[in-house]
This record gives sequence, C-alpha cells and structure tokens, in this order.
Amino acid sequence: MTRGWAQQLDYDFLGESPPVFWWHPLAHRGRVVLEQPEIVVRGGASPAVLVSGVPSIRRDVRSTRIRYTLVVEELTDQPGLVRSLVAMGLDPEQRERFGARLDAVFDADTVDGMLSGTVPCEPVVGHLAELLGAAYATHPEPSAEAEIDGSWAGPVGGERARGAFLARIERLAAGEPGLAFSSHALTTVAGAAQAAAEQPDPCAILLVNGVLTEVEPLRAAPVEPSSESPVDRTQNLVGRLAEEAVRLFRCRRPQ
Amino acid sequence: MSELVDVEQEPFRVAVVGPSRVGKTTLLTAILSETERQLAGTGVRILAGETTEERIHQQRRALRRAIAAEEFDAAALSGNQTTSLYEVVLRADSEPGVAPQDRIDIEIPFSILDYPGGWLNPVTRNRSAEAQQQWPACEDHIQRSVMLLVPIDAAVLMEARKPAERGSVVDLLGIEEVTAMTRLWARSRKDSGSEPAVLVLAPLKCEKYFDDNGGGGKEAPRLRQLVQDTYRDAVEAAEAEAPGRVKVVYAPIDTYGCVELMEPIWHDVGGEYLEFTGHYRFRGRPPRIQEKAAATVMRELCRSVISAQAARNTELARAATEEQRRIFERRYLRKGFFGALTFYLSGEAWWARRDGILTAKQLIAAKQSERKLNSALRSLSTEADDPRVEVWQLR
Repeated sequence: MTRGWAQQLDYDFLGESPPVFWWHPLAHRGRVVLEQPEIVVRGGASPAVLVSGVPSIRRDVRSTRIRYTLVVEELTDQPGLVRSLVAMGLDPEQRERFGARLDAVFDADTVDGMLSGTVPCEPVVGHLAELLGAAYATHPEPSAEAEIDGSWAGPVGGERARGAFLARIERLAAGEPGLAFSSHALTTVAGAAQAAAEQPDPCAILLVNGVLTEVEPLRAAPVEPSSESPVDRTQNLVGRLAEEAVRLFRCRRPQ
Repeated sequence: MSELVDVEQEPFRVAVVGPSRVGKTTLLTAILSETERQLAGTGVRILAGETTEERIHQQRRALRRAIAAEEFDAAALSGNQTTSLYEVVLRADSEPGVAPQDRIDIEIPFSILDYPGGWLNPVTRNRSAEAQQQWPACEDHIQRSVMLLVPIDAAVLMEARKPAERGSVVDLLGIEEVTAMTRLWARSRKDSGSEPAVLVLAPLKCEKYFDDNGGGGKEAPRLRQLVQDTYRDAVEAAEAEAPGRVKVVYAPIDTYGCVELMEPIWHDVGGEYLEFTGHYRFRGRPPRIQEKAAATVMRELCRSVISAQAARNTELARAATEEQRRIFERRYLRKGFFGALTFYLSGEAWWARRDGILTAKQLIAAKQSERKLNSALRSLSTEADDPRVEVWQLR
C-alpha cells in the first residue's frame, strides 16, 4: 500500500488487495498507527505480516514523504521470511533500505499510473516476490529467548520484551493463533490490556511510547455472566435503589 | 434482538467529511486544546481516550519541535491511511474532598470518525477494496451523527484567482462528494425524529485572512462569501432533505494561530485540474500556538445536548413513575441520541455501571459530579460564540 503524488491518489494497495483486512480492527480503534512504523504479525493457519511506515523517497503534492505499508500473507511454513520481515520492521536502517528497494521497482510514474488505473498492476505480486527473495536470501536465526505465555506488553527498547516478542513470532509463524504487534498509540498497561481483551487470542505488544520499563502480563478483568434475567435484575436494582435512598435519607437527617 | 445494544457504548457521534490532507487531525487537536482552556475552573475536563490522546500528543510534540526550530514543516503532517475513531469524553470529577473509594466521575462520551479523504470520492472508493469493505460502517456513523463537520482548506478557496485555479477548487475540496454526504446525513436526521442536526462549515488555515488573532488580513468577508457560494449546494441539500431541522454553523478556525500561508503554488501536471501546495511559515517571535474558534465544535455539541435535554425533560417528567422500572432495561435499548442523552445526563450511566451497589457517600458524590457536568455543559453552551462564528439562516 502506498500513495501517489496528486491529492486524490490516496493510500491504497497497488494491485490486488488482501481478501480480509485483518489488521483493520486494531487500526480503527487506534491500537496501531499505520502512519507510523508498526509491525503486526498474525498467527494461525495462515500467518501474515504487516509492516507499515516503510519510507519512500517519493513525496506527495504537499511535499510530505510518502510511505509504504507491506502486507505479506500465506506465510505457512515460511518462518524465516516472517523473521526477516519482523527484523526489518524493528530496525529503522533495514526499513529505510527496504524502502529504497521498493522505490527502485515502484518509481513515481509507475505508482501514480497504477493508482490511477493507467498502468497495469498485475506484475506487482511478482515484483514483490522477487524483491523479497533478493532482499532475504538468508534469514535471521530463530530467537533463543524465552517466550512469555499469554498476553503481555513491554517496551520496544527493552531487551527482554524484544526477545520475547521474537520468540512469540516463532510460535505465530508455526501456526499458533494470536497477534503480535508494535504500537505507537498505546502507552499504558491498562490501554494494552484493553487492546488485548478485544482479541480472541493472546497478544504480545511492544509499546513504542509510554511508561513501561519491563514486560507486564495483561490480564483482562473477568466478565462473569449474570444468572439474573433482565427483569429480575431490574427489580433487584429498584430494591437496591430504594435501600440507597433510605440510607441517604438517614445520612442527611439532622441528629 | 438485533435492535438491542448497550447504550453505554453509544456515544454522541460526529462525522468529519473532508478531502484528503485538509488537516482533520490538526483540527481535532485544536478543538481539544481550546475546549480544555474554556473548561478551566469548571471542574469538568475534556479527555481523550489513550490512543486518541497519544496521537494528539505526538502532533503537539512535533509542533513544539517545529516552533523551537522556528521552521514550520507542513509536510511533516502525514495523511490518514485508514479509518480512525477518536474518542473524547467530557468528565466531571468528584469534588476534591471526596475519599478515593467514594469517587464517582461522570462523563459524556463523544466519538469522532475520520477516514481517508480519498474515500469520499466514489470512483476512488470503488477502486479500493478496503474502502468498499469499510465504507458501510463509515456511512452508518455519518447517518447516526448529530454533527457533520466539514473542514475546508481556506487557502485553496482564497488563493484560487485564475479560472483554471477556481475550476480546480471543486475537485480539491471534493465539493460534489461533500454535497452528497451532506444530503445522506440530512436525510438520516430527518428520519431520526427530533434529534439534533448541526452542520459545521469550518474553513481551516485561516490565519492569513483575519486580523483578530495576531495577523493583519482583512479578507474575512471574502472568505465568508466564497464558503457560502461554494457550499451553497450542500447547504441547500441539507435544507431540502430535512426542512427546518439543520442548524448551519460557519466557523472559520485557526488550528495553529501562528502559522501563515506565505506562498500558494498551483501545479499544472496535465490532469483535469490543478494541484495546490502552500508554503507556510510561523509568525510572531517566538511563535505561540493560539487556536481560534475551534471550541465552537464542542460548544455546538453541548448546545445540542442541552437543548435536546430540555425538550426531553418534559417527556421524562410525565413518565417519572415508570422510570425506575425501566432504568435497567434502558441500558440495553437502542435509542440513538435520546437514549444516550438520558442514560448519561440522568446519571444512569454510573448507576448501571456499578449495578446499583453504591454507598450513600458515593451516591452524593455521583450527584455532585452529575450537577457539575450539567452545569459545565450549560456554561459551555451559553457562552458567547467567537465573533467569527455565524449561524446561517436557511431560506
């Protein structure tokens, strides 16, 4: 995904879009900021990686530097590529280099043409596959760090958090369900816990900003379904309301 | 059962309808900052959700850095890539003497939806699978919004002097698309009974054209006229779809107050219209952020809430004997604006949240907070508008 020079050539995928925008709930609630350098890794049957904020040398009509968001899906049995993409996403220099490689393939005219429909987009997938193959002929070794079970958040600069994040990536790439992502928007344990509670599977979250100095487990507050029917609950509530009113009246009565 | 939702999750909605790169996030930052200042001393605060707060914080930080460097870089502000929901609450804190365990803070939530400006254009939208997937949810938010906020790039309007430049305004400001969205929104307002409907036309980046906020511009009348002419169809569409229902507010806003357009540049790249770039610079030494008229947005929202509350009170008084029996169910009934209004302003929100288990002290604290919030709402809504702001009479 990238944008073109003109105002109306807004951010969009070059060529075919992913069938499901699986990262959208995170972005919509502001849990990740795709305008910033973020990583989102989805585990499960079809692991996928999103890396946003990959810088281009291209600029738009307002001279704002354009960026790419790269979404690579169907990464089953490709843990090495997942590792490489995450390593690139976590390292500003690698990100910059990858942006330059993308720019070499997708120059300004090509991008503008693709986004306005005058240049065919079919070659995009082939170009990207070639580019990824060339950029990542060898992959980083699997993380030897200890995994932390369940949902947790940690500082992006923390050694333990980063190690545990990479270890979680291994499990996600192997098909374990869950999400691992960085966040430029979440800053507190409470916020991260809320974001994790919105997901059906465990989350590992690296906070770029905020006050965390160590890895913190995220425990959602247990929600116990009530056995009372709405009518019972209403009647009970009215009863409690009456009791409170009596207590309040007693409180206020002059002695 | 599909009609039932938790009213506690039903905030008061605002939809933003503006083209790409008009400065929507900057506008939101200005709205929060100026409202925060106006609420000072009332015991009520305007708070953003954690993620909204962080986005705003990052933008403020970038601006502070730019001010320190005395070099404004409009290019540093990046456009949105996907939809974003900004969550804001007006919160009345408990009185200072209340013990922590007895504190009950009452709040009214607002949610403001922003989306990539390009999605406004049906052609662009149809090309983008993401836009097609997400657009129904955007439309739903727009239709349920009590306010439609239309940010307008004042520089594009004001600096278009030659015929080709003036012709480009329609595309650059997405006039057709804004009109279509206004029509859609107004139609839904008509269908939503007596819910409020406020259309705010908000020219941004106005610093150069006014002389009331540190600048020397004398072009306020021309800007007003241009907005009136350019958005006439949108305003008329609103009136046609919901006759007598839509309040149109003209609010030229300085989102920075210290950044001024220096040089407008029109680019002819052989397309159907020209592209526009502005070169901006800080004014004043040192430059001072001084938003102007941005609080209009929250003030109008408060007015909507207060005027609707007044109308609702009569009805509620009639139903008082039935009210307690309904307290709990109301939490689960989808009632749109009025359901949320009653839920939050009558204090039901804190009651329902606590399942009715409150001590007498908590009850007192809650009632105090409730009164404070109502009083702040009234105070904000009765405060005089910025002299720049006008309510346009239709017909």
